[in-house]
Amino acid sequence: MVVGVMGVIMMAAPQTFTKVYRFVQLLTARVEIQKNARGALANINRDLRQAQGDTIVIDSLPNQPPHSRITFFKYSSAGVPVLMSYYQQGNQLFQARGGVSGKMIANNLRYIAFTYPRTDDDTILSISITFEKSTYEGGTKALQMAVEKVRIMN
Amino acid sequence: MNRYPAPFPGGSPRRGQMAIAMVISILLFLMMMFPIMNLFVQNEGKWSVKEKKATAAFHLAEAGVDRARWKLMENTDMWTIASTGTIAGYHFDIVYKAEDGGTYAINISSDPSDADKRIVESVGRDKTGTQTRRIRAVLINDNAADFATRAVGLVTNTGNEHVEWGPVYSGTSIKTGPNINNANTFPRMFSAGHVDPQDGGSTVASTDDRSWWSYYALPPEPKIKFAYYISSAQNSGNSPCDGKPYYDTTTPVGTARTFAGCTDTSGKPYYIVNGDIEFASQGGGNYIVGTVIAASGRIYVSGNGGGSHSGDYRLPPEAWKEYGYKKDAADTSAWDHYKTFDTDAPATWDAAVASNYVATNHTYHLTNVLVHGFLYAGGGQGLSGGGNGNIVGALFSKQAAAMGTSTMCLYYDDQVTAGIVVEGVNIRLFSWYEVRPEWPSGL
Amino acid sequence: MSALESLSRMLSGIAGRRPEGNLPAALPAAPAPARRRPGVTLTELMVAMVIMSVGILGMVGAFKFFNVGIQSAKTRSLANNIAQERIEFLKNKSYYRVLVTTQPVSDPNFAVGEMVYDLAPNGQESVNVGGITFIRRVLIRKVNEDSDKKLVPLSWDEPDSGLKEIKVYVVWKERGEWRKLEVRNLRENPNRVNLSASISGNVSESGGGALEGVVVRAQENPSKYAETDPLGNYSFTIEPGTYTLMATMDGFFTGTRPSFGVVSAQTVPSQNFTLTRMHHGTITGTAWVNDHLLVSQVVGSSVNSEGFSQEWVEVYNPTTWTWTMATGLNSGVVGLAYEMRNRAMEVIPLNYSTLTVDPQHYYLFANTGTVRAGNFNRQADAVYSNSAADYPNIIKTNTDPGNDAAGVAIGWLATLTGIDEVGWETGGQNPPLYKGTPIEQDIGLELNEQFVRKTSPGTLMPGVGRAYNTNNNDNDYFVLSLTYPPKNSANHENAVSGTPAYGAVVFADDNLSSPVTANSAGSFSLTNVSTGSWTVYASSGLNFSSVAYYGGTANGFSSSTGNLFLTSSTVYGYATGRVTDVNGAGLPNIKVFSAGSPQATTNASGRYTLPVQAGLVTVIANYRNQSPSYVEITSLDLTVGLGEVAKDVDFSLYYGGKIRGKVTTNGTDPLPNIPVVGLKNGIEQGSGISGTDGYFTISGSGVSTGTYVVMPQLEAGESASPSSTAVEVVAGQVAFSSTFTVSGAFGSVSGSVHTGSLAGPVITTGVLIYVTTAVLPPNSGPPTITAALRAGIVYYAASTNALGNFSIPVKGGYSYNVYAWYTSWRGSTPTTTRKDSTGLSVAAAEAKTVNFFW
Repeated sequence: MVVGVMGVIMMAAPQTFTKVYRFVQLLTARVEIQKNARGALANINRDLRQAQGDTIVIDSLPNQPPHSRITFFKYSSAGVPVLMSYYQQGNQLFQARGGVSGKMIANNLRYIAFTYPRTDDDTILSISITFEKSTYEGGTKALQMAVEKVRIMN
Repeated sequence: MNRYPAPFPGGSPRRGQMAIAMVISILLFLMMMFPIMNLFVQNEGKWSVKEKKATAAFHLAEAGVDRARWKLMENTDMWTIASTGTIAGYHFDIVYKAEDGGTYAINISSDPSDADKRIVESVGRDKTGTQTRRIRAVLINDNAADFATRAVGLVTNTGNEHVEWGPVYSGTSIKTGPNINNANTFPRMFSAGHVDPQDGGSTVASTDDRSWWSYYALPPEPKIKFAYYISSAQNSGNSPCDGKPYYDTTTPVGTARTFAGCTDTSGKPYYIVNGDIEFASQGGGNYIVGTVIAASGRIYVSGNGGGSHSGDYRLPPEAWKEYGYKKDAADTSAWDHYKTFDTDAPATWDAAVASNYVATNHTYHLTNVLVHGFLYAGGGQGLSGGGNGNIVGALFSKQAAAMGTSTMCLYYDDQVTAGIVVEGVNIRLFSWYEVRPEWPSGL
Repeated sequence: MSALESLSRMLSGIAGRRPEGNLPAALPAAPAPARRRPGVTLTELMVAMVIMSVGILGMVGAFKFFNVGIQSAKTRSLANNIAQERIEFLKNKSYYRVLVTTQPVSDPNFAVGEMVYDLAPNGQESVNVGGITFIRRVLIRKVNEDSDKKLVPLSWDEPDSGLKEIKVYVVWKERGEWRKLEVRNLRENPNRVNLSASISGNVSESGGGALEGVVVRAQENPSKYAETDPLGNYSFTIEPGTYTLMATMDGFFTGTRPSFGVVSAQTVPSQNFTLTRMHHGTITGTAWVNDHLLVSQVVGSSVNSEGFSQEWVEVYNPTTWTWTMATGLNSGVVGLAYEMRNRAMEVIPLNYSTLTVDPQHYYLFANTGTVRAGNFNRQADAVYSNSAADYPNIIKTNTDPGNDAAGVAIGWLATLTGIDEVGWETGGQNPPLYKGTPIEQDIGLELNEQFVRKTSPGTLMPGVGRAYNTNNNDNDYFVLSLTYPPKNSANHENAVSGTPAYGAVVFADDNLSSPVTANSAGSFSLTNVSTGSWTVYASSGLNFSSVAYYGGTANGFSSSTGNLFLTSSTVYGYATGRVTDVNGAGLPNIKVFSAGSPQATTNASGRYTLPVQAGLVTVIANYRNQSPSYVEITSLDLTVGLGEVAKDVDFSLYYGGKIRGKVTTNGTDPLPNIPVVGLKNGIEQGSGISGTDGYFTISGSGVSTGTYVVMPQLEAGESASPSSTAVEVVAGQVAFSSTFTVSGAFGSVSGSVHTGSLAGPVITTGVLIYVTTAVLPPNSGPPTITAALRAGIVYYAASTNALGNFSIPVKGGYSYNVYAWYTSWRGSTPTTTRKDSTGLSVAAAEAKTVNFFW
């Protein structure tokens, strides 16, 4: 009898352990993705709003997805123009300020694109961003897409 | 009796411990993960709520900016009131409550360096009071007069440099200097046609981005509120200089109202309806403070006009912008000229541009000042004639403007142009950015 | 020893396998191994299982919590983004293209007033992000600053103030509950017409001094008004135009000044008023509710000339409708029952010879066909059937053996529910049937004794309906020796009382008095009623009555409405007010309407009382321009409770007409969904949207008369020919403005992106789509966007959404090339592949679809 019960435990315990571990992995992946999406978009939003519209340039780093980099001058809180740039390199999102090399602000980046709904109206810009993190057994699970429209105020 | 019980049939002696070991290790693992996961989830919750509140606060702040713009367009006086006084409800005196509980407050104030700009600051706060965002927008009145000399027709500015501190606008062409080597290097020149000789005769829009712009889309002419000047002149009675009225209908077309030996610092406007205005040198010289309008005639200086006053005048904070001209890479003559008046200025004009330089508390000394105020010539031009007269203020001519006298000079004064009463305001957003989110004290 | 070993020892010990107590010292080593028992006992195992299951069960709950926590943070973040996107989109539009809500609706999933949003013209949209469906709604209103610097909303049909409030709501359902997120912002009109004119003056009372608190309003632009200060002076600024001024104050007749024009920078002083005070008086009365049959007389025994002991029950119908007592001789609908204490209730079988009882008539139940009382012979309407037990003496009197406290009731036979009951005590005992307090009796119902219901409080008058009912038998009945003969269905007597309408709300539509409530006796005193003739209403929430009453002419008058009977039921609240023209004259025969309730028409002096649904409602005056010379005006939201009244819902109608026109792409083909505004003196008075036939109407509710400039509001890049037209609006007419030809109107390109094949799974991570007339070199990326490129050929772009769809508005009339770039990853190395679809021609207002797959 004890052997039987022991046998059940022996079979159940590792599975439970694995499942718990997977859940934890999934949870931390989701948390990370969400944090990335929210933080990155909020930052880009805030900066772009204060950008000077005619200084905006959208392109990409070499061998990176199209239109994944945006460069512009924005007004700092002292009223002085500052050069800002956000770009994708690999699956990381970088922010560069003042022309120095960039600082990573998020990883697990799958897709970022800056688009003008129409290029003859440069007062509104759309940003679409997707984060993706692979979890157990190679299945990419956590996915967060966020879209924003930003009015360029200057 | 056997005292030693038989060993357990089969199985390793430590099996029991292993089951428990597994249990305990699972539990231990969970015990460690739980607080971490809990922390993640709680943080996520906290941050997403914070973001929502920050967004609400931001939009309220922006609503405040838009409301301030609406208020400034309520009537033509709001813009003027905001430069020296305050508008009730719009100087951080009232906290406006939005229906969902958030609050915002608005402040409209004048720009310390540019009298044609107003600074709107709006602070928004979400309903719990934890998130605050603050936006500063600078609004500019496009209808303002901010030129040293503006003529609808041709401007000739040959010979010595005649205009300092403020730009020259022409609706037709600007002619400065017979050739490139002795063309005037300051101030900035904006022309709807040629800037001669700098543009080399080109008939398409061109510029050096520093001191001259040809075929340029000029800002609209300011609509001077003549009704104001007329009624003000009518109420001013007679001039102490010659006993003739400030509002002068008696000088007929083609003749001039002559100022000779006239010192009038009352600030009351002269409005000559039909005739011309002449500044003559007899009688000890002239010094007029205030607005001088020849509604349909011209203004001219005969002899040296008799500019009689000497004094210190305020250097406009953005006067340095007029001195960017470089004939070639080594030429610093324009900036060096400016630096003689303002020793605190940055080393080069480009450095001043990059740092948004503002000259504060600088003055310069002038002698032979003829007029300190705004000159309006409805016909002909102004300022031809002899020398030794200086005008501090601005000049607008509905026809052409010739500034070819040998030592006549016009020194721009931004406070004079800010005081020119114009019809209607044309408010435009000049810049917009977020500043440190501080809720104003006392609210 | 390791921890595990000592644990094992402990468990062994618990299991009772203690080694024997005294071991000989000669065996030192042996006991030690004997103690360390190998293997695991069942008990150990059970304990382990218990620990584990406790741990695991705890975990499961926590996991659920974590999931919920993460999910709700995610939805909140997404909802925030979605709301913000819409606000940015709306704030980027030109001022007149931000369309004000004309049809607000309320979402019943939220508390009243919390979720009011736009059904037209913006509508709601459904956005799917991250696997969750959000619904995005807006509410856009015109607002204006009042004298306290607060922003107050204006009705959509009022002239534009230059400031609009935008609210965006995002709602979603999470775990069965609806949640919302709200963001609000403002949008100002950069071309706002200055309030450059100003109007001022003084208001005083005729024969008296200055009046404070008088509201002086410009009728054509009702959001512009001022209140007089203690010296009676007022002043306000307004846009230039032509205006009529009206001064109003409670207790005074309104004053008006004829229409005058004001131009820019003009101050019009001395617009003075002299107001005449309204006299007022008091109206009193009593309100009664009569909504069911009443037992009006009970006689237990009265011997007729033939020695037969008669008994009868008389019933009175005080209501205003006919009751059906039976459908046939033996098929009763309303029946009679008698119950004595300690006995079962007896439903008396009856033969019904009269089937109905008319309003204000009686009905007689008796144990004999003809009741003889004194000189009267009265036919019974329903006679006891001789199948009844105890026939013919069912109602016992004191002479009957076993007489005890008892009661008589009438009720519905089908359901055996009572309509009215009367009961009497006997010997200190309570009867089983009674209302309130049973009739106090010592020896019970006596021979030749009758219980008769009073006709009014404290009295019984012959010739008047016996209807006084406070639901208290002892109070409502007189105990008499046979005095009043019974009446039957042929007898008509009007009731002058009934059940006092305690708590009923009584109001008059004079705009001066406030509603009062009737007291426990049903009487009310309505004070401060203006002189003149008004209608007095009484409502008890479920029952309603009204009576027209002439108030009085002298100051301090006092008159009575008499008895008001609340006999018709209602499920409404009420709104009252006055409809006038701009000069203050009342407008009769104007249709006033509120959704969900019958409409009303104004009377000769312009007053109306309109039933409205309880809750949040709006009242519309001149509904659907039934009087075409005037505009239709909608009030702001009112909250009205059931049976309550909202006062002072006044309307000032100005002359109006409508403007009609057509928007086309080429002069003939219609172009829908283009907003068109009508501007008078630069202020927007109304707007319309072109429909599927291209026609628009400005506006549905009519706009004030005058000269208008009609302008289509276009997106950047579109142009209209003519760009605007001037048209004159005359009262009651529909003026035709122009047929506008819009060039450069937009069509759209939409589609979806898939992997594998066109039917394969959609790409959810995002694909970059460009639509342009330019031709890109093969396999290149999209061009670098700089200021120079933005000044050249237009490129339209978008990224696909989480469902793999995209929709891009593009200018119509061109042939476009559509390019799509999809990036796939290997580790951190991207590979981008481009797909093209060229030569797609899109006409204005046309939607083309292009799908891609990789």
